[in-house]
Amino acid sequence: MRELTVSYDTPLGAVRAADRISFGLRAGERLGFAGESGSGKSTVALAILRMIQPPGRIEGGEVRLDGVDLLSLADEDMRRVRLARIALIPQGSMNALNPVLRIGDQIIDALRDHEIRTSARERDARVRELLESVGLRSEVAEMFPHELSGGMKQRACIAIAISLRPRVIIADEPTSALDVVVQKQVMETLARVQKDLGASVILVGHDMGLMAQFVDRLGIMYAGRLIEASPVRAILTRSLHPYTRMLIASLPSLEQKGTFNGIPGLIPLLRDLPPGCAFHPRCPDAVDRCRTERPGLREVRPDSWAACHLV
Amino acid sequence: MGYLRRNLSLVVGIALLSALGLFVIIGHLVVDTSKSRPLSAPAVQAPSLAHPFGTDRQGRDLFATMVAGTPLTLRIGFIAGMLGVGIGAILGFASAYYRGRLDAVVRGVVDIGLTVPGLLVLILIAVSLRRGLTVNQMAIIVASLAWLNPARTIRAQVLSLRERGYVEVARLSGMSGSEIIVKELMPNLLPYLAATLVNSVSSAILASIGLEVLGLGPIDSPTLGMTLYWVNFNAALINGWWWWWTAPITIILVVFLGLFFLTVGLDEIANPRLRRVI
Amino acid sequence: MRADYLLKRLGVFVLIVWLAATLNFFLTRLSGQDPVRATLLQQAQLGGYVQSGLEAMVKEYERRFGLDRPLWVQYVTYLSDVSRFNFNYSISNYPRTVNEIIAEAIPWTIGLLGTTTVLSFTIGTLLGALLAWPGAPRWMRVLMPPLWALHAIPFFLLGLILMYVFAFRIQLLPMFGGYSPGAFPALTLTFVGDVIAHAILPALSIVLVATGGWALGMRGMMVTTQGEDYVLFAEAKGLRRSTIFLWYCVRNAILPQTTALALALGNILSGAVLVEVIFGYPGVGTILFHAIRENDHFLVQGIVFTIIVALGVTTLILDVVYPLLDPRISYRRT
Repeated sequence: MRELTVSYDTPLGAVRAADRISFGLRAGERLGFAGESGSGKSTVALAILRMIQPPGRIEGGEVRLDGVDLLSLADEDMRRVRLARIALIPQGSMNALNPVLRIGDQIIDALRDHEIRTSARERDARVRELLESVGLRSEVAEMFPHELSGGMKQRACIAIAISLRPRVIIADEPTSALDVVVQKQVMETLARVQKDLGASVILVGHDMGLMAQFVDRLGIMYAGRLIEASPVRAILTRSLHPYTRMLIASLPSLEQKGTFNGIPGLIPLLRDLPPGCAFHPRCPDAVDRCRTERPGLREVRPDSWAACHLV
Repeated sequence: MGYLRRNLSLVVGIALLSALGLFVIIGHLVVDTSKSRPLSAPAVQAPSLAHPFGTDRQGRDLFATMVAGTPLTLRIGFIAGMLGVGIGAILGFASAYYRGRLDAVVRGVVDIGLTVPGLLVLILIAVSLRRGLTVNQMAIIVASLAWLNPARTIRAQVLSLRERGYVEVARLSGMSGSEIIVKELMPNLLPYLAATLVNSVSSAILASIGLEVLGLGPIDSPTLGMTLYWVNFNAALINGWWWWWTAPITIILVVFLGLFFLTVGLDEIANPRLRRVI
Repeated sequence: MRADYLLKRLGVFVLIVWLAATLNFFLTRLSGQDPVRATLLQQAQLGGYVQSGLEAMVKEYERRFGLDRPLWVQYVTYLSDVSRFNFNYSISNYPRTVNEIIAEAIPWTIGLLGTTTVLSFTIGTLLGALLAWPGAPRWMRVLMPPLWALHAIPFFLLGLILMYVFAFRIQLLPMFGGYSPGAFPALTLTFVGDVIAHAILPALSIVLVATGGWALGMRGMMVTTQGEDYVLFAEAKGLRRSTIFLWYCVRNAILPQTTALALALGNILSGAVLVEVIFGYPGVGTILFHAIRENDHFLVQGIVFTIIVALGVTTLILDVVYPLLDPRISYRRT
């Protein structure tokens, strides 16, 4: 992805939900996108799939998968890319499944619309296979979504997402509505299927603990901008950007006992961003340059990028 | 003011109803409403300067009839509508807030009551009370069923509001049930109540006109529905006395369209999420 | 669980029927009038002289109609009669029974009401669904405002206007009745054509008004449905537009639409009654109108009761069909 920009037209002017985001995703890699609500992480995920609805629109940039710029494809071609090359595991699995169709049918309609020609028997076998790979019994195919628990529904969504063996899986806060035990199950399932497929995963979320356990590299979003992207170990132990540092420091840990440290101040309104670095009003180390010049994303250490003047 | 420009329905609705109001007021000043009684003018005259709307077979001046009858019809609708919403609101608020047995009873009665077509029950009542119905009696008869719909919709709204934070806070701070209803719930529901009122009035007018057209209304009153009854009775259509029925139909059209646009306009205020997409 | 739901609906149905019957019984006796005496007196007046032995006649009729027995006996007899669909004789059309008269009129009403409801619901729902879909042809949007405005007025009002324009002015279609006077009811093409010609105006007055309502409602449901998460996911699955439209949007929006149909039946029926009266269409509406005019209590009771039962049955059918559409319902305890 290079210089991707998504803006929303509001009555008070255009607001940039994602501002010149650039990153690269390697094959088989797990990349995380973390940030507070409204930081733009879900917007980036949806933008990759070109599912930004009006009043939002993709203002500029390019998203290349295997050399093809997805943003320049015709609508019909993009439709074919969805699920077959890039799959989405949606946020809010409570509602992501069609309440009036059986699970099996919801897997099959994707196969059908992507012109996978199979006989009825092959189709049913495939459905069973997919359900088993996410740890669901084959009877689930005949059931309706309201008969499943939250964790089961989410795993059904994963089954749908991998049904066409995509190259990239985007998981948008897949576990936010679930309790911890089920979270673990779902993430384990995700890890397993990813390994089987050899696909890459983009995990969008705000749970740093989850990120730490799952991803290889982590990108931090703030106010619609990508401010740091490094291997996850590096972020946790030697983070570069002040925001990241304060974020990590604010996480409670089982070993150290002490007071909670939050980050003083509030996230700026997207339509009212401060000039220069978006974080400077809350940054303890801000200098004059931070107030006037917006920092670009630079490779500070090998494979560690940060958008800060001070590193 | 800017809002009015965006909410076109509201403007149109108010405009139509105001036009009607003006018609009635000016009409009262211009014509003698006693001419709406039979035998006040030569029968079956086409519109002329002396009788701008013509006259009917029983010698009523139709302009006077319309001027006198419109407020009567509107009054029935209004009284019945208000009564309906009043009773419906009380029951709706109480049953949704207090739940329990009261709620079960109210809900049962309302559900069953709404399944039965209101007009039929009204017909039954009206048929039995044939002798000399006055306008006010009609209003009460219509009101007897008019509370069902408001009760149901208001109850639904209160049910959804009940779980909101500020109700909990009010409850914890020791406000009594009825205090909460009046001071917290009602102000928030005012636009919705207004929309329900207009709806109720509209249905009441429809019901009363329906009864009158069937011949069950106040026979001596020049209400719009009764005029239509006489139109039917005297086969005015076949006889070509077009002026006799053009007037009431036009007025009824204005009434319903006006109330309809008003309802849409109020709905939009009550539910700001409704975007007007035509 | 399924049986639970069914039983409850049946129970409600029986309750409604009983309520209708009881209301019928007591309301018509509210006025304290004796329908037989009133009618006989009326006829005596018309005849111009008072027959001797009028009292004896009244007593005899009262005995026949069972009006001389205590109230609770009458009530029980009434209930048992009604449950066997015996509605007694029609006072105004004696010696014809109420059953006969109603039986004659019902096919006409069912024909008119059934066809118009099915037509307006289907067309309206389809129209509404398409209007909510960005891919719909443009000319459809032009239809929206007139339909929208039309649905605000009562059926019979449009009926009067249509009657004037098409039956009187242009003389294209017949004005009154179910078929031309003197036509012989038979299954011939000419008769059927005649019936259809007479039915067009009443049918149009209902369809033109009702369709707008259904379209508006469906469009609203579609808009709500399109905002749901499962539609977003469906798009992410790369499903075809048509698939999403039919199986994700329409299929879900149809549910509240069907509920609305069940609720609206009563109103549609009331409106249709008035339309029949205006057009003199020989359905239950016109019969009811004449019965009211003639003060024929038994006939009025019989008609109202029949209508309420018919409505109850239709609602029951819809209630039973609904779980077939919505898989969530069979499993929910109401």
